[in-house]
Amino acid sequence: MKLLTHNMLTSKCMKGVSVGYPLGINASDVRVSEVDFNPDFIARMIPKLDWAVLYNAAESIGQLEDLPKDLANNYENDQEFLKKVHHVLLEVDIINGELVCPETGRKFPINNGIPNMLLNEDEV
Amino acid sequence: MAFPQPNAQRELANRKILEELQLKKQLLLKQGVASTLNASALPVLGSTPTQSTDGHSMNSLQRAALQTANTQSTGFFISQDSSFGNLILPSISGFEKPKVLLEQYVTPPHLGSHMLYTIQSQYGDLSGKLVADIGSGCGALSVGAAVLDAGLVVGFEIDSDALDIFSDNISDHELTNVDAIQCNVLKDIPIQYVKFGKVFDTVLMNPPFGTKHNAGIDMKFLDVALQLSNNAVYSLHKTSTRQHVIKHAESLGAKAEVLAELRYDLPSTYKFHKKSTVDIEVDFYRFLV
Ligand SMILES: C[S@@+](CC[C@H](N)C(=O)[O-])C[C@H]1O[C@@H](n2cnc3c(N)ncnc32)[C@H](O)[C@@H]1O
Repeated sequence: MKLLTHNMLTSKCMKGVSVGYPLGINASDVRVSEVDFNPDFIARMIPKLDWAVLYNAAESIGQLEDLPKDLANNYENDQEFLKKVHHVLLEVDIINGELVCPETGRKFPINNGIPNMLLNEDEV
Repeated sequence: MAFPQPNAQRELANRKILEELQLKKQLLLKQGVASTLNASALPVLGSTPTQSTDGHSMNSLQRAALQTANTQSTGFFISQDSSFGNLILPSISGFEKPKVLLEQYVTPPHLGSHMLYTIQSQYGDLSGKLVADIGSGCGALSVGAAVLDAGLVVGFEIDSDALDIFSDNISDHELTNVDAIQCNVLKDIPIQYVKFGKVFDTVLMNPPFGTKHNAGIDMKFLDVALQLSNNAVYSLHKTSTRQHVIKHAESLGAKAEVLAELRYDLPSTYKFHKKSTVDIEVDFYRFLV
């Protein structure tokens, strides 16, 4: 699971959960794999992101490297910056671990890179 | 019905095919089959062998890959020239024990290839886009979209067994621009709508068509797809339901366009039929959000 995916995941479909965001991450196996860099794609994704959530997620799994805490101005033309965001969003992959609902503590296992967000009948 | 486990030989073939494809991709995109599609004269793709092709003859390697695919498959690969279909989609493993209730069958490679090429070459809706594939199964559409340079493809699938094969297909093809989420897209799709609704540029699906027990399930998939997409949804629905589909899409504020009529050879398990496959007529849609 990539941090771009994590940035849009929520547990709010659970009964009694109002926001369910952001999900906490306990990572036991993180892999970094090379992904083709498409600066336009990254620049287009940035406004859709919750930057603080991305920053905290990267930090919590020790993959912050030198991602700035605040979004750069004019980032569209800042290749260096876009490259860093690209790395954190797409190249960092959580292979095993779990996601944690911030309101209920319900854990969602991540196995083989895939988070299992299925809920039991009594949870919806 | 079971697919043999990938063996070393097949993996090697896959890799060679991929190398070949990398070289040809740009060329293929330029000469894509999509030129054969236009709205005024709907082409019928599928069992008609008269379709003009994308102009590439198969080399022995590709032919071998197709042959392997044909002998190993469940019998619904179409031996028709379409470089993308012959190169990539046949090398995708299918469901090992398809679950009838979930309507698990793989989009036939020939049709999948036409769909993906049209989406990219006519509309530019894959390359550099954030793409969702809902009901992603073994990943036929996800792999195709990833090969065509999607920024990221996210597959949504309920079934663990399908997801295992999905993961194998992604790693067999050495794709790193694909992610997957296990969820029930009709109940608990875990995407932030409030903040991130419409985060996906393009949504792809080959939804369950529904049976007596769950009629209309493809319209429920469409509801979800339209909620996720900020631009376009590409989907397949039975031709017999066309009026209804178009009306339903309009009621949700989307504009439906039938891009092609397909003949879809469904494995007969789903029809309780004597023949091994059953042709059904299916429309290939583009819904503009
Ligand atoms: C017709 S198959 C298409 C598979 C794949 N997209 C392809 O084109 O080859 C439909 C898929 O939807 C999945 N599915 C059915 N109901 C679902 C649900 N409620 N949530 C998520 N996936 C579902 C099935 O398990 C199956 O893999």
